Amino acid sequence: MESKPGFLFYAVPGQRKSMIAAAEELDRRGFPFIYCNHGSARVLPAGQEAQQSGVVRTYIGTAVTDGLSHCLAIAMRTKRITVGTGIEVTYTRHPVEMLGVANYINEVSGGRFLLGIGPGHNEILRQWNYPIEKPLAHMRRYTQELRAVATGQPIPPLIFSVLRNGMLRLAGELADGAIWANAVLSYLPTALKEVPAEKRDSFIVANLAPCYVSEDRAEALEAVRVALTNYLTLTNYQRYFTEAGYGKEVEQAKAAIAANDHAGVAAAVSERMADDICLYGSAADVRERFEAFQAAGVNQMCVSTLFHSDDQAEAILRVADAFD
Amino acid sequence: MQKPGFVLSAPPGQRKAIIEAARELERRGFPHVLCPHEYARPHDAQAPYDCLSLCTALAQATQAIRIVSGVAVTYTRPPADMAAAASFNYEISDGRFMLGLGSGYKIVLDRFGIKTEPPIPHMRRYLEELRSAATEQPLPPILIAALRRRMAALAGELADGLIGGNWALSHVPATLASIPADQRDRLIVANVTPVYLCDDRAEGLAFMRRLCAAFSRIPTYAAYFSEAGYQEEVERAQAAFAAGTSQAADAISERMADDIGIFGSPHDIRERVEAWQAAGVNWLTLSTLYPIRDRAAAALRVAAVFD
Repeated sequence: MESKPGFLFYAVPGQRKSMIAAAEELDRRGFPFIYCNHGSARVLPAGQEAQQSGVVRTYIGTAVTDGLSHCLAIAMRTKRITVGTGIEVTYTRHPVEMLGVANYINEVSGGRFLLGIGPGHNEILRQWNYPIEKPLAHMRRYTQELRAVATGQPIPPLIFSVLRNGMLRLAGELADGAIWANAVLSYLPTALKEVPAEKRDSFIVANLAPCYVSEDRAEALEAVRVALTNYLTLTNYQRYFTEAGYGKEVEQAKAAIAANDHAGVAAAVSERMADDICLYGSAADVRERFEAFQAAGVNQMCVSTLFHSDDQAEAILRVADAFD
Repeated sequence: MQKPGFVLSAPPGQRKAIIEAARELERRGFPHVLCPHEYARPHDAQAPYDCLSLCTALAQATQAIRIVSGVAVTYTRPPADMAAAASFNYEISDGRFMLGLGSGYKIVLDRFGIKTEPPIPHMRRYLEELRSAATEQPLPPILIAALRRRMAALAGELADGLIGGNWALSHVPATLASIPADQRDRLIVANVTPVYLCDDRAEGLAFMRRLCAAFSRIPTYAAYFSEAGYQEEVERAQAAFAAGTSQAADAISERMADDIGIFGSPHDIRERVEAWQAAGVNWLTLSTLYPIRDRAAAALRVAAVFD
């Protein structure tokens, strides 16, 4: 069991070198993982979009970050920390191209790379006119093609992005692990039953959870509510949260979205829901929740600080202090 | 004489050695490295040696040398994804990265089930989408892979430079003449020129003949070589391949081999590099990819010619 969490990284333009420096710092301080997000979308700072346009629209389809490049740059500057994509969107790379890059990173990192892949979010893919397939069929086909082109070349451990049980079952069948963003703690034991018993010991179970450290718990609660706002606008998350027992909150959020009420989406997140998904409050609160996720079976627990401030590196290192 | 750049490609198992080679070239004052998106066996659907990843690694491993993708294939990355990767490399290299783009080989893309468009409108559309996707981040200078004159003209119109591969030295003036004079002066003009260092010039000639014959099988190169005045050689080489004989290299004239490749002694190589630069290729890039297995050693061996 890790005593420290991993971190979600996002290579924001203008901050890419400072993020690499932050990764070096985490490596020195013994943090175990960094997952780098793919930039098919950008999460806007809380309320910014609403203020600008008066509508709830938290994702925009411009090119902002490249998770694989970020992983490689970090791997080049670090010695121990494991880097992974969290996640790379399958639709943006032909399997043969994905493998070419993954192989490269795996070799120059000395085997410290994990390839997290997923089909992304329909809302974003539609903006780019991708021909979207059914997620399970798509991931099965993509993985088969990836393995088929890897003749004679090693594939790094393969992790599927998952939310609901169907994709987790598929990950159990075809992959080496699964990665959630915003897994519901109370629902994890139910979900993890989908992983075949013979695979469970070696299966990577990763989760990226919003994290906000503050002695003022009310302030922290507000912050993580805003973090979840972005996800509540996405259909796949609405379904997942409903499946995990938060149907009432989802319905309230959908009503707020329909009314272009950005603040209303955040307000729909109950304290129980925030508590079940996020790490927030004092350093002791955050550590306690980190351990709870691990006890529930998450063996690569990572935290996301994307929503904190404009300075990503500073936000990450501030949260890291809670675990020193 | 200005030192040339070098092609560096990283097949599996040599990736760390290639990074060290780039550091060494930087220490020795070479101006740039160009990283191809290389398919080891184009007739197999095998994972390529990814050029943008190599550029990322070199950006982290070096401080001064310029780094060019030569070239990233448009069909395998959507413009927004390409913009993200290019902008990333540009930022972490402190502006030393340049994005070389090309539409790749149809023979390879067909193998991957990727539908292709006519090259000129495809590249025009791709560049427009690339630039419109990069509204929030600066893009590096963009170079377009160009063999024939129409693509060279497009590079003059829409890009910051062009990258040739196996251009014929005698045809460079005609290629550059397709670009309006007012655009030409600001352009980076790169060419990947195969080089073979040897004491026995006959050995170098034989190697270059084989290489030219092999490229004659690729339709885009066959068309370019014909445009450059080597139609007879191309047709004879293609006929030899079609007949299944091993005589294709014999179809390549010494004039053609000498016009496309650089081979011979250190003195021969330096002299020829100067000739290429005098012809207007201001980013001459030497390729030592063939046929030596240890690519880092191959590049550094030729680099020693310029010390």
